[in-house]
Amino acid sequence: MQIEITQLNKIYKGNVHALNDLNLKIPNGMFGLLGPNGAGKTTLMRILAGILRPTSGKLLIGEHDMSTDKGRTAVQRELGYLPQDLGLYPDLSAREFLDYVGILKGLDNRAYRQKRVEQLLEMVSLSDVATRKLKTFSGGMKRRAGIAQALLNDPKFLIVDEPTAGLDPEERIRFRNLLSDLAGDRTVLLSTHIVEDIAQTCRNLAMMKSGQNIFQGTIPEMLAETRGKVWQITTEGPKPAGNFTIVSTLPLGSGMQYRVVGDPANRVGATLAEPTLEDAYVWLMHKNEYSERMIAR
Amino acid sequence: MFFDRIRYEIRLMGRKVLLTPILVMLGVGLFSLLLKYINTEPSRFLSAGLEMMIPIGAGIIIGTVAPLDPSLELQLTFPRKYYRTAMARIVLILLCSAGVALLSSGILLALKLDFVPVVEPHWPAFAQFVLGLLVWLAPLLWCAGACLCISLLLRSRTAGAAVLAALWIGEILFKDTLIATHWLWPIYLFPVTLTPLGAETLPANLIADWFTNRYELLGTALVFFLLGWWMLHNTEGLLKGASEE
Amino acid sequence: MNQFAVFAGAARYEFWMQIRRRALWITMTLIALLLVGLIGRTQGAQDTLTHLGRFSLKTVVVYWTNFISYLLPIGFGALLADRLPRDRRTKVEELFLSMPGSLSSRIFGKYLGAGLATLIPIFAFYLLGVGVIVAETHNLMAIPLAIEAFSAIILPGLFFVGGFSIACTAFLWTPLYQFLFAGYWFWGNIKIRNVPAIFDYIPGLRPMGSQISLGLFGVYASGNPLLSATPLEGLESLLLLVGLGLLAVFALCQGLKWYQAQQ
Repeated sequence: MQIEITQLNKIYKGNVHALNDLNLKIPNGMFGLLGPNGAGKTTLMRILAGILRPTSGKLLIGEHDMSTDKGRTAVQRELGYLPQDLGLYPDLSAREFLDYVGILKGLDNRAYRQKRVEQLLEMVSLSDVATRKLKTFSGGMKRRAGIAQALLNDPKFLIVDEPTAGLDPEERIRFRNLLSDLAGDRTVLLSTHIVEDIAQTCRNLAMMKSGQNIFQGTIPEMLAETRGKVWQITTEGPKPAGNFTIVSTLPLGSGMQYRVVGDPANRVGATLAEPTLEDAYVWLMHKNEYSERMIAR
Repeated sequence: MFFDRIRYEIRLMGRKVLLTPILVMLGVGLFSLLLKYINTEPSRFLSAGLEMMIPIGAGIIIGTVAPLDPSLELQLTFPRKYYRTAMARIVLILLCSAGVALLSSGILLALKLDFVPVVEPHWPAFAQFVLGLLVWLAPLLWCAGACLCISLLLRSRTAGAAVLAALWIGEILFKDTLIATHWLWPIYLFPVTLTPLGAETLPANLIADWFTNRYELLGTALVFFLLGWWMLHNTEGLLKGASEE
Repeated sequence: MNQFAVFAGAARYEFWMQIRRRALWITMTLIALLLVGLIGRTQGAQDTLTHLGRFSLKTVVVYWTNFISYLLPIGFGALLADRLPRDRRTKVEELFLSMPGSLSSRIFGKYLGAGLATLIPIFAFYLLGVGVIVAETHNLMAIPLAIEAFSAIILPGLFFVGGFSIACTAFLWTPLYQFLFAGYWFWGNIKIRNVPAIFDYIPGLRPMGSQISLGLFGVYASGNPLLSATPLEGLESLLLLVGLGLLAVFALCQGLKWYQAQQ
C-alpha cells in the first residue's frame, strides 16, 4: 500500500501550523518517520489514520482518497494503529480487550475472531497473562497488547506512533524485532524521535521539522549527506565553540575529545569522523542554521 | 456478535452506570416508607422519582459517558465508527433507565400509589398506559438529549451536568412562571409532580395541553439526539474534548 | 518545606487551570441566561426589579443577591466536582503524592484556587445586576452594600458546596455526586409540603443563604418557607456553612492520608 502526500497542511485553532505543505511518498515495507517533539509527526499519523482532517492538500493511501468519508472508511478497514498514548480499558483482560477490538474491526465471526486473538496473544507473548486485567500490566506488556490489537484485522497499513517510548532496553529490542517481522508486504510507518529505533528497523525514512519534510531517502543516503560534516576535536583547552553542535564529550587522560557536527572554523586538532545516524539527524535538523550563520559571517 | 458487543459495552461502562437508576428508585422507595411512617401520602414523591429523578440521573450519566472513552483515539480509527458505539451506549443507558421506570410504575400501579393524570373514567387501558408512560419517558429523553448536546458542544462533561442540574432546579423554583408562560411549555418537563396534574381528573382542554407538551418534549429530544449524533461525527472535536477537560 | 508556599502554589495553579476553562464561562453564562429568562417572567421579581424606586436599596440589592444564589451555585458545585478525579485521570495525582509538600496544603490550595476561579463568573454576573441597580437608583451605596450581601449570603453557601464537591468526588463517581448534589440543592433549600428536610432539624443548614438573608438583612428570599430569623440565627447559618465546607475538605485530607498510609 503506497502513500502519497502532496502539499498537506494542517492548521489548528489559533493559527498553529502543525503541517506546512508536506510532501512525502511512503513505499511498501518499513518506513521511519523521524523528527523532534512538536515536528508534526503525531498530527500526520492522526490524519493518516482518518482521525483528523487536513486543512488542505492531497492524501492518497493506496487508491483511496482520504479527503472523502468513503476513502477514510476504506483505509480504516485495512489499518492497524498504535497511538502514542494508548489508553486501555483497565478492567478488561488482554483476551477480552482484543476480542472487543476485533468486534469493532468487523471480525464478526466469533470462532475466527477468537482464533485470531489467541494467535496474536501467542505472537506478542501474552498468552500466559491473557486473563489478567490490563490495569495490572507493565508498560511493555501494554505496548504488546497494543500492537496485538493493531494486527487483529491483518492490516495492510500499520501505523505505530512512538512505540518504544518508556520501554526498557530489552523490551525495546523485542518490540523492534516484532515490527521488523511484521513489515513483509505491509506498509509499516514507524514514527519516533529515537534515532536508534529507525536505524535498527528501517531502510527508508523521512525527517520532519516544523511540519515539513526536510529529508527523504535511505539510511545510506542520509549518512552520505552528512559525510564530511562530523569532526572529532581533541583539546586540553576550553570547550570548542563555533558553527557546530557538540554531540558527545569524552574525557581523555589529559584533555577532552569532542565529537561535533557542523563546520568548525578552527580545524587544528580536528579530524573528520565517519557519521552515525545520530550525527546525520543532528546535521539535517540544524543544516539551515549552520548555512545561515555562514552567510551572516 | 451483537450480544458479545452488548456484553462488552455494559462491562466497559461499568455496573455503576446501570445500577444508578435502580439505586435512585430504591432511595426514593425508602424515603417514601419514611413519609408513610410520618403519615404523609408518598404517591407524589414516588412520581417525582419517576418523572424528575430518573431523567436527570440518566441525563448526567449520558453526558458523562458518551463523549469520552479510555481508548478514544483508537476507537476513532475503527471501521465501526465511534458515533455508533456512543449511541449504542446511550441506548443501553436509556433502556436501563426506562426499564427501571417501567417496572417501578408497574409496582406503583399495583400498590395503587400511581400518580398520573386521570383523563376520563373510560379511557382504554392501552391509552391509559401510554399516558403513564409519557409522564417519565418524555423528560427522560429530553434530559438525556440535552445533556448529551451540551457536553459535546462545550467539550466538557461537567458543563452538561451543571446546566442540566440548573435547569432542573429552575423548573422547580420557577414552576409558576413556566405554567403561566405558554411559549415556555416546550421546556416544562415535570408538570405531573410540580403542578400537580397527577391523580386529578383533568378537563379535556388541559389534557390536550398536557399531550401537546409531551409531544413537544419528545420532538425537542429528537432534535437534541440528531444534533448529538452529528457532533459525535466530529472526531477532531471529540479528541480535543478528551484532552481539554 | 514551607506549607504556606505549597498552599499558595497549589491555589495559583488550580486557579489558572480553572479560569482558563472555556466550559466554565459558557456554563455560567448559560445558567445566568436561564436565570435572567426565568426572573424576567416572574411577577414578584419584575415588580421589585423594575420598580426599584418603591423599595429600599437594601431590599433590592439583597433580593438580587438571593436570586443569584438560586441557580449559579449549582454550576459552581458541578464544575468543581471534576477537579480531584481529573488529577487521577491525567495521572498527576501520583506525581503530587510523591512530592514533599503536605497533602492538606495541596488539597486546601486546590479548594481555594479552583473555587476562587469558579466564583469569578458568578461575581461578574452579580456585578452586572448591581450595575443596573446603580444606574436605576443613582445610588453608589449599592456597591458596598452588594459586596457585603454577596460575602454574607452567597459566599458561605459556595464554601459549603465547594468543600463537598471537592471531598465527595474522592470516593463517589462524579456523575452520581452531581446527581445527588442537584437533588440536595432542591431538598436542602426548599420546603416541600409534609416532607422532612435536614433544615427542619438544623435550621441554619440552608446553603442558598435564606436564613442569612432574613437574619442579617431582614429580606425574605422568595420561594422559601422561612418566615423569621434573628441576626444571631443568620450569623449561625453563615458560620455553619463555612465551617461545614472546611470540615469536608479537612475530612478529605484525613481520609486521603489514611488511604496513603494503608498503601
